[in-house]
Amino acid sequence: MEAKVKQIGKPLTPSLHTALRRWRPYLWGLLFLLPEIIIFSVFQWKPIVMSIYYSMTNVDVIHGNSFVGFENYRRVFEDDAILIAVKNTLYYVFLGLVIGFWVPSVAALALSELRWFRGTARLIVYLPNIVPAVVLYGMWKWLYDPIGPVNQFLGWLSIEPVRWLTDKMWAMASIVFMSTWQHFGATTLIYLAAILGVPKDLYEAAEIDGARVWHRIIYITLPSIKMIFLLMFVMQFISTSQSYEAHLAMTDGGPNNATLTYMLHVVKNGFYKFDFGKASAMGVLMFVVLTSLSVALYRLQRKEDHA
Amino acid sequence: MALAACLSLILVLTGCSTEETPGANQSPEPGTASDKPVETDKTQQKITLTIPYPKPDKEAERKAADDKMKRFKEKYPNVEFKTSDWLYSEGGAATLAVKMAANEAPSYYNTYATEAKVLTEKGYAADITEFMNKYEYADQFNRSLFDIFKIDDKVYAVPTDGYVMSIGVNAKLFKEKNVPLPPLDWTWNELLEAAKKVNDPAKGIAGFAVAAKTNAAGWNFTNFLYQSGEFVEAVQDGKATATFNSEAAATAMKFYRNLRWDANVLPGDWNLANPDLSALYKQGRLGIILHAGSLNTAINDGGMSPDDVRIYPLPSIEKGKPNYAITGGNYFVINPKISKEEQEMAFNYIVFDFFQDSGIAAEEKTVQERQANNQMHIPSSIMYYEQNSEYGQKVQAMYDKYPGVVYKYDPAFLSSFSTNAMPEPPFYAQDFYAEMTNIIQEVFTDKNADYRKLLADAQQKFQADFLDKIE
Repeated sequence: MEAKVKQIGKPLTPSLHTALRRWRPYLWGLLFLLPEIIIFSVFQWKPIVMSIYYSMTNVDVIHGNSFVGFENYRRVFEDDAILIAVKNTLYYVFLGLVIGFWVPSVAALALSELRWFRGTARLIVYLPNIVPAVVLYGMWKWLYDPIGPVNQFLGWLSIEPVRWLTDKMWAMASIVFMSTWQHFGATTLIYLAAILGVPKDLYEAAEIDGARVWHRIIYITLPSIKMIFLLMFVMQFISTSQSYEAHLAMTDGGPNNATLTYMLHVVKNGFYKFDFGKASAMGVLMFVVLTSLSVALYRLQRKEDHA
Repeated sequence: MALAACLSLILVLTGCSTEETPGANQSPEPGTASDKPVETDKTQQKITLTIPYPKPDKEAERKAADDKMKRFKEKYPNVEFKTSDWLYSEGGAATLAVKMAANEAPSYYNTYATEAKVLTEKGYAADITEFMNKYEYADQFNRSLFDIFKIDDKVYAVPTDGYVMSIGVNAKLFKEKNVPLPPLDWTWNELLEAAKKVNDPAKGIAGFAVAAKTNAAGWNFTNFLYQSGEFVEAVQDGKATATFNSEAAATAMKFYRNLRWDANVLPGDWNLANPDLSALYKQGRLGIILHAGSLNTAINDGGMSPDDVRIYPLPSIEKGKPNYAITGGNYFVINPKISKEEQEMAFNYIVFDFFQDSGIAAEEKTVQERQANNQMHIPSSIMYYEQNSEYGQKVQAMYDKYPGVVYKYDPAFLSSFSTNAMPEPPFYAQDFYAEMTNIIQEVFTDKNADYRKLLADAQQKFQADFLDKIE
């Protein structure tokens, strides 16, 4: 006991002292990081690990869980709707890129070239982003109504009304139009921040050399923000591939699964059929795919940085 | 992955475990003093019940719940109440498992006949046979409702009220268009013709609508399938076989096809669930609606006059053929994760007013609340008691005191609507509905959809994925 007291009372050894001194500059930083580490551990990382565990489990909240190995994965691959959901998700991602990807960049370029009312224009562009989802879906259902404003407008142009949400050809595109309108404001601001970060002297020099607006955009702006394009491309790919809320609210995956996305299928399995094991397995598979994409992006970015 | 992580997060945070709730299903150790039957005064038990409490906008229902809790406490003074705003019927179904895992589900919750299979299979409903056997009025329940939640001779729910699928007709619209109302013993063709006459797509008015979204689409369709002469599944030598790839199903599907493509009487945006149909109906944009709750939708939600809306039984395929209609209802299910004592007290609370004068008094208060709010009280067409029982007559006598406030069903409708009430398919009804929903959506989307092939494929899949797995 006495020896123990002596040991505790011993002054710090020089090596520990040195280590503490070395860490001191980082102490405050680490302390500030601590809440985030805790929050991420509890709300992000642990759920990810638990998802993997649940994907190999028959989740039964009443009688208790049981380990089932890869049974949930086998059921996922035997599910006919999976292939449809994957195809639909890729189609949605593709449409999102074709219809929606260029919209915020064009809006940002236009905003950056504005001489007046830039602040007001930024606010207007961002407004759709703050419309509550319930209002948004209600509004777009009204717009897409068979006798709604969009079809009335088409009628004035002597174009046959379109069954936006019940025609298999249009249903997914209709959701993309809506989502683009909803989200383009936030992305526009990111592009705008990147554009405004391009050194002004480049533009001044170009103007002195007689460059017009198009020249400035093509030869200065676009090359300067190409990494943002790449980042936004991947971010949009990841977010659209996980999309399901709009599909659930607008069409519930119909007509005949034409808008059933992978994540909507996960939700239906988890929360409608209470099949949490299979839903977790589907989530893990998605995790693998998206992680691979993220790693690919990281490598691409690093290669670009070294170039 | 975000969603999967979220899903796990919910399960993790709610402590998804197999741990028993303290007191749950505990049996005393043999040889201890507690294995001797001890007569305890159940009215003096200290128990906390968590009851589902109506949302703030349901003033009349809240007052009724407050009143019931007060009266219950007079008999059971040591029972404490907590209220829960989680309601299965109002978006809560999707989070039931989470609530159960977190031990946050109320002591009992309301549900529907359609959920009987999934809730009992997943173990989300307590076996209440023991309480029901002790209940003195157990034999007076309306059997058609009671038996829906009776599985393998075990009782899992207390019925409150029910319905037989019916059709709402916007009589005002018919009058405006000078279209005579169809007869009550109508046929598919008469329905179609009536729908065509009030149909006005240019003004956004549809002649007729059925649910075409979610499993409700398959559920609606099953009525027509029954009328056409097919019952989805058959059991022979202990084996369940799907039977819906039949001429009858093809006939019903052809009728659906006609609604969409030949008669074109469905709403332009036909991919609608029941709440969407209700919204159209109360806006006056639907002539005829397949909806068991059409009266409440039109009168109390839509402010329509009771004279402007009619309720019809489902049609038959031909005159004289049975107009089968699916029956369903509302039930109270007890949380299986609470202790036996709590379960019994929850059961006592649920049936506290059943078959009692206090139940009639509580119902009368609800009627008076409706009257004060200039609304109509629309009693369910089927109650937990038999309408012609002594208790049923007493309730009716109370209703008769409020002419113009309590909706009076047309006797001709009442005499015809429930004659051919049918239960839902016995095995995997929701999965069958999901299969049918896909076919219906395909038929509504593609004029040339080969519904016979779709039915054949669906039957094969349904048999292999579900029925063949029944042990």
